[in-house]
Amino acid sequence: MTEDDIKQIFFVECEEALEAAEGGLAACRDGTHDGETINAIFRAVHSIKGGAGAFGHTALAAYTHGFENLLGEIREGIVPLGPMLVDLLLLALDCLRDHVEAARGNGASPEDADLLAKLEAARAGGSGVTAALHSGPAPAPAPATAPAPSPSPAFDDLDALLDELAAPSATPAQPDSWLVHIRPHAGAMTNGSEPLLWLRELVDLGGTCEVCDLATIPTIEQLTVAEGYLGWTFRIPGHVARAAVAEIFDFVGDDVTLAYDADPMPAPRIAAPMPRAMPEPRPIAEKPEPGQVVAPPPPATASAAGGAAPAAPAANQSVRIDLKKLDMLIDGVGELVIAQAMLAQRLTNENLAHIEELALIDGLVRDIQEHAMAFRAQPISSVFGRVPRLLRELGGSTGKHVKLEVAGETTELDKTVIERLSEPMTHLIRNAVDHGIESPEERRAAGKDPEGTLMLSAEQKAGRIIIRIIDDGRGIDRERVLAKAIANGLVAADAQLSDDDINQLIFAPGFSTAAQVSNISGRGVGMDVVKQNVKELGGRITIESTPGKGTTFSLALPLTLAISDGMIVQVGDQSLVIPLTHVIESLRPTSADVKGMGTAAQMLNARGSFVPIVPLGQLTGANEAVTNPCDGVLVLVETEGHGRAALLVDSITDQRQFVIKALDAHYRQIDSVAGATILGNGKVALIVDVDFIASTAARSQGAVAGLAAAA
Amino acid sequence: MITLPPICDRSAAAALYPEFAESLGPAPLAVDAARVERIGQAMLQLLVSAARSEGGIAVQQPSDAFMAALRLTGLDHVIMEGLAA
Repeated sequence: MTEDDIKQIFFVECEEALEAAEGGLAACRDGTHDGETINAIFRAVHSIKGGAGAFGHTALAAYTHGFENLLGEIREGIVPLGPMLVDLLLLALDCLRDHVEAARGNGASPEDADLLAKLEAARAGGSGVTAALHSGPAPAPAPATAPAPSPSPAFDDLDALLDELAAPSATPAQPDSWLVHIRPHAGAMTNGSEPLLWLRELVDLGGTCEVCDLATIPTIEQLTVAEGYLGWTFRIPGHVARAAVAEIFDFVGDDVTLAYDADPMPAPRIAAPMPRAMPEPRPIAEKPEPGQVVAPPPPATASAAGGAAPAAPAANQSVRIDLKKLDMLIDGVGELVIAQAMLAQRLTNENLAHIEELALIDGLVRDIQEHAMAFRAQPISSVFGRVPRLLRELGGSTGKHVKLEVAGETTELDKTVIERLSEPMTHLIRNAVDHGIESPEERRAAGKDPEGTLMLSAEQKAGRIIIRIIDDGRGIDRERVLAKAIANGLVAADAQLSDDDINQLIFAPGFSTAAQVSNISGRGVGMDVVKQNVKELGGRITIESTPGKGTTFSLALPLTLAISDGMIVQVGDQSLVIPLTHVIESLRPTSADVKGMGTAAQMLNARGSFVPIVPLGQLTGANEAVTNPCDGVLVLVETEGHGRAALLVDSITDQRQFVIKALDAHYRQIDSVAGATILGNGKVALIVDVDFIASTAARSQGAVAGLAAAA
Repeated sequence: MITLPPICDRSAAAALYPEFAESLGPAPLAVDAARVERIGQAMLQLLVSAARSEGGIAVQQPSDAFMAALRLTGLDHVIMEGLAA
């Protein structure tokens, strides 16, 4: 593992820590926090600080240090946690995120001096107040020093005053320096922790190494590498509080023993037979646990030293894998699926299609593929988790405070989908807050809660993930959208458009109804990018909007981008693949089921409702394709936004998994083709873009169908 | 001559321990610390133990990181004695 790899892990852990802290602070804001929540936030910030120090990200380390100081005092209950403070902490967390990004090399370090001063002020303010409240003798020196800086009358110097209030209570009768004795045990060198890092933190606090205790180091023959033999005594400057030093060792637990000043160096805990020549007394008695009375003496120390070992397997429930390796596995699985299809084809040619072994391999390949895909699945909470910050920032710049409700955040989808989802989601949310949700005054006038609500939901439905972004704002003003579109020349002045068509106009490139271009939205880029992004993901976006009630954007996305189930159909001399997620049924129509519409179009009477028939042969230009629906097979497909269509094919040859190969990577994007795949016989087959075909079918026949309905 | 790896953590110490145990003798054992970037307690203990053996060790071309770690831990005199000798 190279240093870069380790750094990468550090940044992954930073992400996790930031998310944990965000979650904890959200609980604090809702008032549902307890001691453990604060602890979790503290731990998160602390672990970032530790890594930042180790990797030499000084700006990040310095910032986290200031942040952590305040959190430490909140945890101790010295600083009371109020709503104002939670807001400050959230701001501090946003800044921390920027710092982490900067450490990663994305952008410069943010300006944090102001924020750090605020954090420090909050800390000093909190402890100053409580010190005055709780400690009896403390107020005595306080008034003595408080009047001293009297020339500063301004109120904004209150923090400084409080600082001075707090300071004297910490300094009285402090010696110039004091000693701390550190004795790391075996566990301190495991799980990535390293005693030398703590020593470095002590040095950062101003400490110096007085002496290193070497007395217990045995000869090389008796040395056990995993044991801790060294102990250190550090001299710490008097102005550094003992708590600040103890904090360094906060999460070390039993793996280190500390002693202060005149206390002797704690004895090592060494499981192996100790060298005889060790007359050193054991001043800090190891806690005589009741169980040890029965146990023979040597294992007593062994159990203490080995204490950390049994915990390790329980904690190692997950493994970090480089994404590249995972992608290689997925690619391999894709090839496996193709190879399996080829094998099946070959066996079919030999009249062996129904042998048991083939069915076995078929099942296994499917299992492996599902598991491999599950590796890449991630809960969508990683996208939703970034929304609170976005809302805070939007709230700050627009003055609209928006409540966030989230449902289905555990829904899992493919990592590549997740990664490419955050940009369109950000655009949609910005749009919802800037255009959708009204200002508090407007909302009050409309009899709504002045605080807007944004709801995010995710669910898995029919092999797709449906993500909804719902706001309770003013809805889309269709008249204005249409007027604007006509003014921009996007549609003809006399065009007759349905509500849905008008809604879709906001996705047109260069479209914006915002009266003013703000830095949030209104430049007319964004919504068309959203549509493009979603389309690239193989997804669809639909809008439902009720004036005055709000707007819902629904994104329907595929679960994965790599492998899918499909129906292999024959159209003339071509093989095509229809994704199975769209297929409802297939049938051979009788002539009574088929109605002609005009000269070319035909409709299928599917149990009372008329569905346009799309001859795939005509669309693909395949030779010798069936043209009469009664001679072929109709595959009835359904789409998210464009209703149903009946695809006319010659015959259905197979139903199997196929590996999606993007066409635009090798050729170019073609409407009505979603990609290509390799069939068992080694031939390339195009994958039908059912949504596109159904939408064009609905459009071209919509007018005719409308007439038919009227007649 | 034993060459210390760039990352001298616990596993590196465990890996080098047999070599140390075997190579120590009446004469100082040469230890090349030129490549050391990071060193932990486990390796330092091993070096201290080796330095206090009969022949001791002679650290050669110590890297800056190596010396910084020794100064941090107050072990510079103990481990670098061989160099002075």
